[in-house]
Amino acid sequence: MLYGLWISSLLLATISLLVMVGLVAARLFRAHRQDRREQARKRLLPAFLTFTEDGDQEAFLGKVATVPMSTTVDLALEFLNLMRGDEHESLVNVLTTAGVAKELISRVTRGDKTRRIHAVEALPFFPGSDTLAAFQRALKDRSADVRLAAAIGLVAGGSTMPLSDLLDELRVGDLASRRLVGLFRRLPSDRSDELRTILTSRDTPSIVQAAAIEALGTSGDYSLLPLFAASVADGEPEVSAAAIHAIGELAHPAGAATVVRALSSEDWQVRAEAAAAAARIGLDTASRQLSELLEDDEWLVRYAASKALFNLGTEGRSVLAEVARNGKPRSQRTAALLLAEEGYEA
Amino acid sequence: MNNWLPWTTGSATIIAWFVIACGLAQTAVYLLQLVLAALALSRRPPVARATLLWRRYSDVAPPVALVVPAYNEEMNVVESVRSLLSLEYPAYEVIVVNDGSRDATLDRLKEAYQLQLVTRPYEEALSHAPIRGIYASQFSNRLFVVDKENGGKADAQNAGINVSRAPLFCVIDADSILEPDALLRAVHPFVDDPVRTIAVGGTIRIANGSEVSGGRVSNVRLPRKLLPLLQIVEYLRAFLMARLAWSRINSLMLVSGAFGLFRRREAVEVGGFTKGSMGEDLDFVVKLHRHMRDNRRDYRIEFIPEPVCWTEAPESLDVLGRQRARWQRGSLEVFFRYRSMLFNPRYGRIGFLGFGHILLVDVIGPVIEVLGYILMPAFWLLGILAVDYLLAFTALVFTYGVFISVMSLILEEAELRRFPRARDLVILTLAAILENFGYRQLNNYWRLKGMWQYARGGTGWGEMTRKGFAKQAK
Repeated sequence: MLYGLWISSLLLATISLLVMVGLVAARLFRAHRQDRREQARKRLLPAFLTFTEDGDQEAFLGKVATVPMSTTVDLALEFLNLMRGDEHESLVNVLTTAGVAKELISRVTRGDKTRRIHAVEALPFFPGSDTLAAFQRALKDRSADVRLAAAIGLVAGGSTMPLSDLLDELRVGDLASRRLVGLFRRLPSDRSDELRTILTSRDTPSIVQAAAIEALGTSGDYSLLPLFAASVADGEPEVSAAAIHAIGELAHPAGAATVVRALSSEDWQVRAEAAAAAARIGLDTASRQLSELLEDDEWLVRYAASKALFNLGTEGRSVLAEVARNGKPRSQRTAALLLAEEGYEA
Repeated sequence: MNNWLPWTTGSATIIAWFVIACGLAQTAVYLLQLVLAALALSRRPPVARATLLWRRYSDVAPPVALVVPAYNEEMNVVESVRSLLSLEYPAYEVIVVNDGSRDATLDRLKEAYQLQLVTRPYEEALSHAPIRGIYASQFSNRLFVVDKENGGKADAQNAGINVSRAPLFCVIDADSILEPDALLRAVHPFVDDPVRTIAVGGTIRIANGSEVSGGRVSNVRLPRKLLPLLQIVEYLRAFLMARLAWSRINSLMLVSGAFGLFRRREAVEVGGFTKGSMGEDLDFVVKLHRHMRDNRRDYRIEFIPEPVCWTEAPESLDVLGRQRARWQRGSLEVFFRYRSMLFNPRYGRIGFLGFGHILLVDVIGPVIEVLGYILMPAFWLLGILAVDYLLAFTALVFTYGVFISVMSLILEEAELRRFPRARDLVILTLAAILENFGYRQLNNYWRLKGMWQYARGGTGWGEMTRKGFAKQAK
């Protein structure tokens, strides 16, 4: 046992020492590599600046050939993020010639997760069939971040892959992410039918339905109102709340009946969204119901109702002022506080 | 020496084996943590650049209210708030809660941010000491200051939660500085798994020695003083390694009160932070676990190492000792308050692993370690333990301590690498050795002191003297 104790101590001490030396050596190596990258970056930066001024492709490509591709990729992404219009297009062309797109495509399936996700998120700068094919491959990636970025890239890049097939490719966990909203928002308006189909399908999980509604809600397409109204009636509370919010975003009077019904929903989130939507639509006729919501058990509903009354304009504010003077204690307090917050005397 | 009664030798042997068994169990826990932490790092989400993060999350990130309790924080509060107002996050508000400070905390804020009294309706969901007034800034529509009567940190946090309107709130100490992209990084689990995620913790780092300007840590340097330097290694081992590990198996028991992001609805359901608690952050997370498990809800409490919050560590033995004694009291208080969860199958891994860990490391750990230091030489003096074994055991205890500390440096190097110079790493590795000789023992002494205070019913927080970020690195 004594021997074992000493051997264990020696082993632990040796491992510790090796780790310490290894860590320092690795850090020195990394620092050296970073230094070289910094030097290369300093050499290449003027070439980027000059190209944005004179557009001389040959000179630019000559400079690019003298530095490692990783330096060109890093600087390329920084510049592409900053530039717009013709300059952006011209830079994309020359960088494609320099092999940046090809490098990013090869990185999609090569290297660690960080490298893969960066490549997938940068590739939309270089649209084309090769990029779309790379996104298709990335849909099979082990990382959810990579898969979702690839799906967004595919949709934004004009892929004709049906949305339902795309969602089938994603895994269950991916479909719980709020990034789905981003994915749906990037869908071109001429493909909104696919989102409608997803929304009406009974197989679609409620969180995906809510994301689809959220994305469609900012489209300004009034023809969606019946679909949203149906979602309010049939959906889970989170779907109904998203649908009411979307109706409010559209702010079309045709949504009034649905909003008025939702003001008496059993779910507090739906009631709160309905109060806000009533104000957006300018639903003066809902003043009485809104004033009743000032007695709601949920504070957020009470606040949303008071805010909605205030935002309805003169009529709503007079209702609010009246409640602040003569209402029940809870309503009175809610109304008075809201008026005070907005700088009005009760 | 050899004429002692046989029962003395027998008792001594039993005690010795109990101490050794506990030591071995602790060793196993540390090894398990190391393996789990390494596993967590290998499967962690990719670390993205801030610009990519913004593109990825800005249109889907939920609004967040930053709740900043401040008590006698005149030194740091203006600088801290400045850093909070310049965070890279699409929708957030900062709610500073002045908890009846006796110094000029409120005046400093009024002066720096041109505060004016406003009316702000809020939900009285949690109880707290009366609010004297709510102020809004003329400079920034993101900033609100709640001035209330003193009620303690938990009380101030509850007031902040009440006043907040966002679905998520982030608690942060007023003596801390968040990195600009910390919130955007911390919100990642709430975006990717919005239904199940109820809390997320980030990394707490020590800013002593670093340069702070414009509310940001502009030049990261190691502290020149030994005490904060040793605390850096300790934070890496105890916080980075342990939290990575427990988060990996969804058994994280602590999201630091210095920087934690929570879903407001569940926070209100559990009654907010427990007033008067010495370890209000530990207490709060345990309450969340209990609540979610009692209601059979699927949930996640996560730790992500990338979002970094910088804080000022105590530089004197007195202040550090008081802090550690308080932490110990907090652990004991939570352990005994929720003792029914210990090894209770209803709470699954939280009852077995989470509470088992608190029992082993926080409740009996300090006693066992100190007993070990006392008993081993005593046994040798009594002739029960041969000198060869005494030396071998001592060597093993210290080399194992050094091993764990050094291994935790790998996590720092692999994950965060916040100290830019190679020389810093050399100093840190030396500190990892040094902390096992003196500092660790001192820590145990402070923890025992905390136990004693807990047994006597002590509830004071003790004075926490700060130097202030403005004076760092001078």
